[in-house]
Amino acid sequence: MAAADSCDGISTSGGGWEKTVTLVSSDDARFEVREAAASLSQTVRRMIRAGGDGGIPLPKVDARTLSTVLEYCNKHAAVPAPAPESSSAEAAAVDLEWFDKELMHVDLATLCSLIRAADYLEVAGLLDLTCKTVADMIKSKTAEEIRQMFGIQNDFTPEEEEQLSRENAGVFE
Amino acid sequence: PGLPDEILEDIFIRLDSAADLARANAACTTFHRVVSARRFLRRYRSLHAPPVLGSIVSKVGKFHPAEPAHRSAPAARAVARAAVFTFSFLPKPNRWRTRDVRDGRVLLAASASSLEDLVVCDPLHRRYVEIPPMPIDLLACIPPVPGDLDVLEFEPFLAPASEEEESSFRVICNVVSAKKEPSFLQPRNNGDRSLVSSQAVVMEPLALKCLCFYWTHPFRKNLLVLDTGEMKFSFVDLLPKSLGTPLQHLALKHAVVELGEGRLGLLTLGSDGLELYLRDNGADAQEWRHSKTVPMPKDRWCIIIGATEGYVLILQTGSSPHMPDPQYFTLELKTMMIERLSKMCSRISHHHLYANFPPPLSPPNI
Repeated sequence: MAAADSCDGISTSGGGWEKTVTLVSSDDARFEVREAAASLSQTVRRMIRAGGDGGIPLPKVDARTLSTVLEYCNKHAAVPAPAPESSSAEAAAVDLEWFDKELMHVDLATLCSLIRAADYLEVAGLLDLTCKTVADMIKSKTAEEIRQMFGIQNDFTPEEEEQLSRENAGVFE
Repeated sequence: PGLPDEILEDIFIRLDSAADLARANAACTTFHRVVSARRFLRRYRSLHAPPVLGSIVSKVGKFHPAEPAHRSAPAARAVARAAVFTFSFLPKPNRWRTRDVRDGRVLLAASASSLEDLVVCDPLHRRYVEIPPMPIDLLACIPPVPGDLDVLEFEPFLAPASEEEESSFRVICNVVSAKKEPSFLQPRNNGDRSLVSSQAVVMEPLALKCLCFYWTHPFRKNLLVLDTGEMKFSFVDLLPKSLGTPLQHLALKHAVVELGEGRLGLLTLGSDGLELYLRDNGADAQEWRHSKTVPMPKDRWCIIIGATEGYVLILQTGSSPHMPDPQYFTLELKTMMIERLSKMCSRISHHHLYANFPPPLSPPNI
């Protein structure tokens, strides 16, 4: 294996041996993760293939964000694949859904960090989950409430504003 | 919040309601830039079907927006204000009749049997194009001249736009003559003309979605299918065995619909409500099977007016103190949800469903 140096191993509860990788956050925190979980990130998967010494550096993700991302990856990679339509598959799906919901109980700033990290790390499931969560927060809000939510200013010129309110007449009522 | 445009796109694309997207669009210039970009709108349209906003009456000058309580009522109001459904921007505005509505475009013909004058317009942006007349040699293939009584039916319609060619469109004409000969189809692509096929079948036109059109015939047990992508005809065995009533007794009581993933549906109005039959649409197609029953109020008389762009338009009449007037209802095929659209105002004229995104999300399409 080309990536031998960044791959170690841990024993699993079943007594087996699972390969792990070490990920290094922007603030130099090191995380030892099962390779199966880390590989949910396409970016990490490519870096594992490329190989390297002393862990995989992720300079765009801080430790706090990375630990949440890895929480997600560990949970989602741990899911065994029982026979579809069996009751245990259904229970696993419900459990995952509940886990996802709990994970998203964070403020908007944290969510945005998670979105950026999911985008950079290419964790498709997490990107979908976080974007959907923010989209749900926007739902049914007025333009002013959306501004407050994101802490942004109305920077339209009066002319643009008039044009917009003409176009949007009715949608806001 | 310092999110790059691509990520904002990823968030906005997940807003199911066009009204939510329109409000996000008005929050700041960054959001506006992301939402109003053609690339984003194309992506959004490919994932979200436009909401049905109301109905256009064949007789020009009438648009009935979805009334309050319908999910689309706010967007419908916005469109009713912004668009010009009197078509006053057309030359000789009084001579046009609505013949088809699709993808936010309206096809108008100068009179009921005219083979000559067709325009396609965008009522939201007040734009139109005149469709070039059919070439003489093609007209010679069908017996009658325009206005001749031999023409039983002249049915021009808009082919659904495919994803890649969102801004272009095609008009197809189906001509049914008394001699039962060429039911004749002719695509017109802004000047590019060719005879595609002629069929010796007289069909009762009804029902469509996606890229195919379907015609049923009261005395035939199959369905004529026109694939507008490839401009090819085929037949599909119609009639589920479990359907007790012969189709000729189901005039205005049935519609053929596409349900995505290659599934073809037949909706019939029976005594228990709307019955949906399904079959897989393809070479190795299976038998029709009954899928579900959507209950409808029993004390009222219902007919299916038409099906387009993922919705079915149903007219319901009947005497009830709570419902004194005939009402239009929409059935959304994706969810099988029935919603009251509006009161029936115009008793004689045919109605076409109009589905579109509200103005800020609908760039000109002509």
